[in-house]
Amino acid sequence: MKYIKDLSIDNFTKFSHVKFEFSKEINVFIGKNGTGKTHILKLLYLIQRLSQSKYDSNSVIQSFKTIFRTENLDSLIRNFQSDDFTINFHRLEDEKDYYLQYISTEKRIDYKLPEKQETEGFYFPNQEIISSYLEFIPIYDKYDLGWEENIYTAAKALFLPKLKETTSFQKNILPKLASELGGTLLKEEGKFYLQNQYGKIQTSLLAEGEKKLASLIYLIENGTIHSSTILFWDEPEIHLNPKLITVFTKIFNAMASEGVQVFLSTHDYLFSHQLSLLDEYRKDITEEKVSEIKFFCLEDTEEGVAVYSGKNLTEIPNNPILEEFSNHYDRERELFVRTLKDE
Amino acid sequence: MSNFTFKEGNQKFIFKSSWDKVLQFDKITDYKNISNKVTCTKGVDFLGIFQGKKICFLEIKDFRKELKKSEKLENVDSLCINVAQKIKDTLAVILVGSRNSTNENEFFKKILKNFINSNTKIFCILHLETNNKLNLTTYQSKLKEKLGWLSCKVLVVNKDTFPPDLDISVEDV
Repeated sequence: MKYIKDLSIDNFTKFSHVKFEFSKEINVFIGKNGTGKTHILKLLYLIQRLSQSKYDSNSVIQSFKTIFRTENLDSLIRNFQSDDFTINFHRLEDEKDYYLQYISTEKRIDYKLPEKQETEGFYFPNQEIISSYLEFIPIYDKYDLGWEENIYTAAKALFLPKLKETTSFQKNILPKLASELGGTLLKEEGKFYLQNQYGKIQTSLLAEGEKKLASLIYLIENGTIHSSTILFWDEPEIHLNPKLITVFTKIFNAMASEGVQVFLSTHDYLFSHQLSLLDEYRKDITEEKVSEIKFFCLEDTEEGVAVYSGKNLTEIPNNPILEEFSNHYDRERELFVRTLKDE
Repeated sequence: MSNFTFKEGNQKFIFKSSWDKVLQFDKITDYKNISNKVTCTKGVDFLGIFQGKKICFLEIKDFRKELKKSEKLENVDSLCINVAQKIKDTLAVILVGSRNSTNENEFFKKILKNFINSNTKIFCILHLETNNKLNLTTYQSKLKEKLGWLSCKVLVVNKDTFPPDLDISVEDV
């Protein structure tokens, strides 16, 4: 399944009925906490993952349980008020209707999924794992840690060696990232180091933002993230200072231009507005190819979460990030006037 | 008290009863006396006393006029430095004027007397032409940074966010 074209959700967690029409390049979810952004990302990751292998009904149910970290799929039904939830989706390459339908009364899931696909999905974890992945893997295998499964997947991916041959994706993307790290990433006897002018530094001593950058670099170097990847990232701005946010904006744009379909969520003003600016000034930006971007704003209503979409933020009403910055300005103006009027 | 009315650029500013006195600063003799000799001197557009003792510096930014004068618009940082410099130079003129002015000596003395009292509140207001509240916030944060030495309150406004409590009305001319 090279690209996920659309997704419809009925009676699933916060969603009564919503439909998303996706971009094959960059898709950005914004919304207040609790509006279901992470659930959408996990659902997309789930359907992508199920498309990569052969599954039976039990393993589909188990995948839901693992990714959503629940013992019982009934807890995923909206308001616990219906007997089922349904997920429908299409991929860009064909017109077939794919679906997953959970029937609570029978504890059964019906599904129609694409034939096994070569496209791989990768859900980038926000917990850093690069400095401890070797220890983490056997512990996760043995114990029930209650951690997100994507952390384990990332740890296993970091275990893999670099590719023998450099791909054009790597040639186009890695130089943009490597210059920000301030050194060369090394892997010796399974451990990662940053080699710079001061010497060889263990990644455990790096700042969290640098660890995130190092992880991304290595996952591109070893082919885990490549031009056919569907990349999922929940709040990539975590641990990043504004300068690195600007770098990551460029990287997402560059990766999407090389074929990666990106799904991400954000609460960050700078990140969301930088992405929006790419579309707003699409015709005027000549120094890089501008990817197709689509924003989805999730808003909680009494009838369930509503979705507003647009090519950039100027097309999104009630942008919660913008609203709060606007409120901040109003609060400061009010305080200014209060001081002005005080004796 | 009567209103103080001034034309600045394409707008008319009317300072109403809450204002004890307002000068269109860069037009007054004391300012010109210094700026004619010290050519880099700048001054704010308006200097006033609000509600008896509060000192207000008000700068109006007309981007259309700026574009006509030069090909480029100032960026946020340079605009805020420019405003901070104007306030700094205005203070210099107040200091000299309170000693030497033959036109506004009493006004400058009153400003100076209030200014050296650490309990006096000082307000700096920048009026920008922009519809974007987020731009106002950005300029506001930057201008606060550039005026950190003054211990003042800063507000960046456009015509829609001009607080009514300032008792100033702005009309297009």
